[in-house]
Amino acid sequence: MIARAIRKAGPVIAALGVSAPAAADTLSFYGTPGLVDMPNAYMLSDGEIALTTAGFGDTLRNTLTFQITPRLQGVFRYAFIKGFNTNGEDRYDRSFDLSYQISRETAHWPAISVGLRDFGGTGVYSSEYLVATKAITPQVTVTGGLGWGRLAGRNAFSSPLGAISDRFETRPDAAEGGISTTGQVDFGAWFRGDVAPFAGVSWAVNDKLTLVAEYSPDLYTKEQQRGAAPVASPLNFGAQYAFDNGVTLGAYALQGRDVGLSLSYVFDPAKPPVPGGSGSAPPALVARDSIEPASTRNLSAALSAQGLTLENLEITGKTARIRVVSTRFLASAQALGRSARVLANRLDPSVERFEITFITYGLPVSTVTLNRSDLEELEFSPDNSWQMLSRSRISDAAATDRGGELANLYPAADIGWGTYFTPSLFDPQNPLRFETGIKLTGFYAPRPRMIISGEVRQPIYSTIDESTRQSDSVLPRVRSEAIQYFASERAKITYLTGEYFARPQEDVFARVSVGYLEQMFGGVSAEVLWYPVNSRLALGAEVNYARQRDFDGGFGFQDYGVWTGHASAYYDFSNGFYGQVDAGRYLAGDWGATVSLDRAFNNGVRVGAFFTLTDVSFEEFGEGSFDKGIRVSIPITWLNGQPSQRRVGQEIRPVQRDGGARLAVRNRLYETTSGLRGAELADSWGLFWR
Amino acid sequence: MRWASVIIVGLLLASCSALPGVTPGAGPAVGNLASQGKPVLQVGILSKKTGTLVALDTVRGPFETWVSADGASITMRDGMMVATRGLGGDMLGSDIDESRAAITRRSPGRVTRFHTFLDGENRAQRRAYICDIADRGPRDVPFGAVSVPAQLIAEDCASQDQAFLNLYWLDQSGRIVQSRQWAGEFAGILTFRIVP
Repeated sequence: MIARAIRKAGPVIAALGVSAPAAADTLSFYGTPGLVDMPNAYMLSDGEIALTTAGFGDTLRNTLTFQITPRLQGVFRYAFIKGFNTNGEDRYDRSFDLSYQISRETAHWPAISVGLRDFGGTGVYSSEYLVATKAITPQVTVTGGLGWGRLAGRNAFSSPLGAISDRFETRPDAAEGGISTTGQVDFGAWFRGDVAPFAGVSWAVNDKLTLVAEYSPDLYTKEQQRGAAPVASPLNFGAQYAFDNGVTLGAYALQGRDVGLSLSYVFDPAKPPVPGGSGSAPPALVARDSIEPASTRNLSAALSAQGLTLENLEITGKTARIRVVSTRFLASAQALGRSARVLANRLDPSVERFEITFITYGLPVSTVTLNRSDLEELEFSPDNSWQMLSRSRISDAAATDRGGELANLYPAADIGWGTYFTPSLFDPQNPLRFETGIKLTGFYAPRPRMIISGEVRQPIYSTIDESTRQSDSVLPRVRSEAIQYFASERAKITYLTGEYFARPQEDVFARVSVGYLEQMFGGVSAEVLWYPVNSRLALGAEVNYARQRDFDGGFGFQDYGVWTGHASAYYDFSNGFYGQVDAGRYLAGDWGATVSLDRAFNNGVRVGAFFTLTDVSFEEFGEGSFDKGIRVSIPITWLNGQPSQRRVGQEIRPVQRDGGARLAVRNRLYETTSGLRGAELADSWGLFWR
Repeated sequence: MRWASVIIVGLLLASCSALPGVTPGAGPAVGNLASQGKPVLQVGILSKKTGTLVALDTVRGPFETWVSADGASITMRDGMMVATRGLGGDMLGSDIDESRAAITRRSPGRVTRFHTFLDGENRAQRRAYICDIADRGPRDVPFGAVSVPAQLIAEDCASQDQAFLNLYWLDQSGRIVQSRQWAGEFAGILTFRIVP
């Protein structure tokens, strides 16, 4: 009741940690800090995510803005422009922006930012700007800037950069190479050609209402060439109203002829609706001298009540060793704290030391050794998190023997069903296609670390199969015919594999997978990972032979087969950023490397970006020029406060082509083990006592 | 409606709106505990003007842990809150020894207390507070038809960025029979009342 009532006290959306936007934190039609259509020099707060949808006239822009670092902002935008294409069709345009705050605002100095808009997309919004913003009173800010590219419309003049080099005086035509070259990072054009000034002012009438006015040099030339009405006035006006829950609604008069509306939502991933969640309390420690030692069966049941499956139990002298699988808590530190308290409340009072090993797929990953008397001493003490961490030892758990294994655990099997929803994004005819249906999943584990598992899907409703998109790829069509895998209405095998996991030696993990590895490929996959328990660096290698599966999702294969594999390096920068480099051979037989960078919050929210460059040329690759994308993943527990290991999220690729495509084998070792390694345990250690 | 389907940001959050907001009643049912003769305590949530009963679940040394029907727990020492679990933004631990000594002795003065709260990134955040303890004189606390004579002690605390006022009503034996205590920025102020 208490937890529930408190949770209701802050409606989820209000508790999303929204710092009531300070007066000047208005978002523009491009979804970034700005006025109406013009940017200003401000940033969001570090880590914040802004979702904006804004429309006027024939344009609708949907933008996700992420404050990557306090000064660096990344943007993904998906815009719809009615009738924009030369054949009169509507344009769906994907674009990425980056902006960087060169100087922060001080009492006498403005904030100054530089921005690259649509630097790698199809070029509609391609522009750069340099902008300064200064608050002249706490309520009023003024903004002035210079724009290149699209922004160099009205009153444009020769670039002052021309003084440095003649090449800055003219801007190469972005559309020169046609659709095939779009998606290249077009740094050849940045800050080149004429410039035009822009300016604006914002006035925070009160905490809720902000009025904005701007002078925009953007003539919407490309839109006009395709039939839009000319811009009647360079002056745009708007009013934005910020609700308490982080939602802001804006209304605008633009270009002297249009009205527009915007809706935005800003939240901070570091502030979940319920910090630490509102799941049940852990069992409080009971007085040790009152404990009657529990049977193994009772201990197992007590652990099970905390989402922990007991697989092994050995008690020798004063030491108890257990192996558990954590199935409920996202953070292993929380599962550890629960395990420790269950042991402390159930084991013979003479047992003093607990060695708790987390296993996954039967694979022992990490062991945490702690003292029962430390638990008793620190349970409610003021510095209990740090002290408990400093008194615990996190070590590698390499031994894969079956000592102390509970009877009747193996062979193990389970079967279950559920529903699925597979989106297919950015089809030019319909940007959101999907298939939904029911799935049946099951596994059989004859002994630890050996798992046979599979999933069968029966589509019920699909719009993916309506797509008429034809692959024009000149490469082996390893991904570009993906929609054909959705053509059949019959049940299909999404995966059916035998997997074997091993710990060949300390700090080393291994995996072999055989079978239908993913929806489009089957074959054999072998992987090793070197990952010391407290290391920030992990190194892996994977070799696969993959053969393309039949489109109907049955047992058959097509003719195409390929040896593919990567050497991978994973690095935890320990400031919330995680980097990964995978170098090797991709499904189309191309050689290259993928670079990924993710910002991961301790509470599990992740936002990242990746790109792949291979020896496939930009022309051969086709639209988009090379593979790239962003990804967002949010744990369910972040959203509703209830313990769960499930996530929602999406990887967004502007286009999926055949170059730089990697095999999607399940249970790669780093993702399987990293949550249980030392860094992740320590990062969320505040949950040990939760 | 292609326009609608363009809203891909909606896609990212689409699965969120459909999430279950259920609370599994993992905690022991209070009714059971009460019927087993376990002591219960009335707890109110000031910001919501709602209340519930919590039942004494575990006693270890001076620490009494009380649990609610939905599985949250509050640990008290001599009627003063030392920790919470499951309220959100929980008080993981605390050092309230100085406050406790001054309040139970009803001796006004300045003391220091320490709280550690769980933040949204699973980190423990420690706060130190300077508190002024004052005796606000006798007050009668009504318990149904009878009213119990009590002394009201106020504890006015502030740290660099937080401030709160705790109130304790002590009966003549020095036991806290009623109180309002701050449980952190997220949970806010809780009120407690013994059930005689």
